[in-house]
Amino acid sequence: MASRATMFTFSKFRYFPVLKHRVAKFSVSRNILNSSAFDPGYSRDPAEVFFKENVQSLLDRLTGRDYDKVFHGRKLGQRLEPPKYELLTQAEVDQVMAEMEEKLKKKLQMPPLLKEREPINKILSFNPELQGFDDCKYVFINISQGITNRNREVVVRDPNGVLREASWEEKQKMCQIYFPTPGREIYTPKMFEEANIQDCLDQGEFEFVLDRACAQFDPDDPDYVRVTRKTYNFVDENAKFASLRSTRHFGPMVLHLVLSKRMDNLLFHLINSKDIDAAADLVRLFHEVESNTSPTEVDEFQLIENYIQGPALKKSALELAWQSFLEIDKQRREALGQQNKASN
Amino acid sequence: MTTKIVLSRCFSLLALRQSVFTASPKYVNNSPMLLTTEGTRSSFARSFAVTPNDETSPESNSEELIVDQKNASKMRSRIIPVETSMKYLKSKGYSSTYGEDPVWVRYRRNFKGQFAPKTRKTCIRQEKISTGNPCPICRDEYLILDYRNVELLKQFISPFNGAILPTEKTGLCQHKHRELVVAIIKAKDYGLIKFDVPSREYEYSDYQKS
Repeated sequence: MASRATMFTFSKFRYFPVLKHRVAKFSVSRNILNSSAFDPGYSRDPAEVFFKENVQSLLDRLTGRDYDKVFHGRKLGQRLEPPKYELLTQAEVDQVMAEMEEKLKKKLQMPPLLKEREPINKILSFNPELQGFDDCKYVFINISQGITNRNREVVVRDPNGVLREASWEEKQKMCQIYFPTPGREIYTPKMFEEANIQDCLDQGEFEFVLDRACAQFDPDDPDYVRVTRKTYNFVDENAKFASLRSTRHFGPMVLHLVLSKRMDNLLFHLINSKDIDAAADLVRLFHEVESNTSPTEVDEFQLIENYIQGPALKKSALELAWQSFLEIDKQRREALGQQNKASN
Repeated sequence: MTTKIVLSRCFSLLALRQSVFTASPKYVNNSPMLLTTEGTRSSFARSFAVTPNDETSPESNSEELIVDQKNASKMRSRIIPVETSMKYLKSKGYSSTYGEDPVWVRYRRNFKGQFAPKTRKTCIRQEKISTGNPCPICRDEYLILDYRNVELLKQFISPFNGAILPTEKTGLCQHKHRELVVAIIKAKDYGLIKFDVPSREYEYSDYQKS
């Protein structure tokens, strides 16, 4: 075995049944799915929309800022320390709050919403004279510092003499062996199998499933896409939006719902909770995604009404909710008006 | 002198009881406590009572069932299914024994001095408890450490930092502690036990097409 200090390291994988099976499956079934350019059910390529600045800011505003929820103490097996109390001037407090804001942005960084990746099919060379050199394939990885795992070169010499770039699964496994990401297992946890995910979702542990999926997979991994879409759809069907609010997963979920044209449940939920700013942001996001334009109305109420009368799919339920909200709002304004008169 | 008296007392007790002991073919040792029936191992708890008349008959062969009530509770040859253990944790018997506390809280270790040594390697040898003060899991045969028995496993996870409690705290023997660690890892793999995942940072430039 070559030492780690050399540029390329040499790993023999004698028994690789999981990966062999995976590679075969990949080349047969995934091509059918990828014949259409985007995720089944999306109106556009999510990568075009997700990274835009105004979309990011809208999603950020929709996510909300519940500081207690974001900064809840994480139990990571760490050594516990007693809390520290400090006396600060106002200027120092402001500085600390600014630092906290930076930390919050990091914690609420949204995992990218992407379509499933294309399989890697690049053959570097074919040397038939090497056929049968061994009964297993040899995998080589470049372990130099300074490159991200995404760009790291991993190549495979098959026993039939083909030198090819490693498939996504082979690459991820090798990178995890030499440059482990915390929270990621070498073998896919059984939790991500269909029956077990359903159990977790029924228990209501959406954030746990999504956090673990983020740690385990890359955002364009077919398994990640499957797990996250299933979770988002479950949350949408059961209207459990509050559990994901103020987490990093709320933004990608909202974008998923808008792209698959099922944002009406969320709008209904926001109107019922009287969160009109968020409802207006959602309608703005819809316009941004559908037509790349920001709507001309400045008034939020008008904006929402136009959406309900226009592109909405669940018109009856939304109209009912909107009417009841308008009545409550009118009563509130009247009450406020009377209060002002009384105080004057 | 004292040992001789003790031994003779033992033999006299044996003579009084007039029971016939046979060694199990698997474990040939000096202790005459194990019994077999038709060559298969059976639990003392399920043994049938045998009257002295049967015992003293000359036709009694080595394959008869004989009960030894004093040591019945020490046998651990019966494999109890997980579902039974999960039902037991919800039962009245469990709550009256352990109350609301985890099972290890009311256990007290015996040692000289202030600082406890490492816990023993195992409480159970040759399918019976071979110690006077077995650990909290070994002493109760219905506490099965399995990845599905989440209620029991959670009692051994610290509520403060999510770590698995050390044997210094729980008092488990080393064998059971290893079983516990394996069960907890497996339960986390299946998603039966929730835990905090380390947060992951993304480089958006990796995923954006230029």
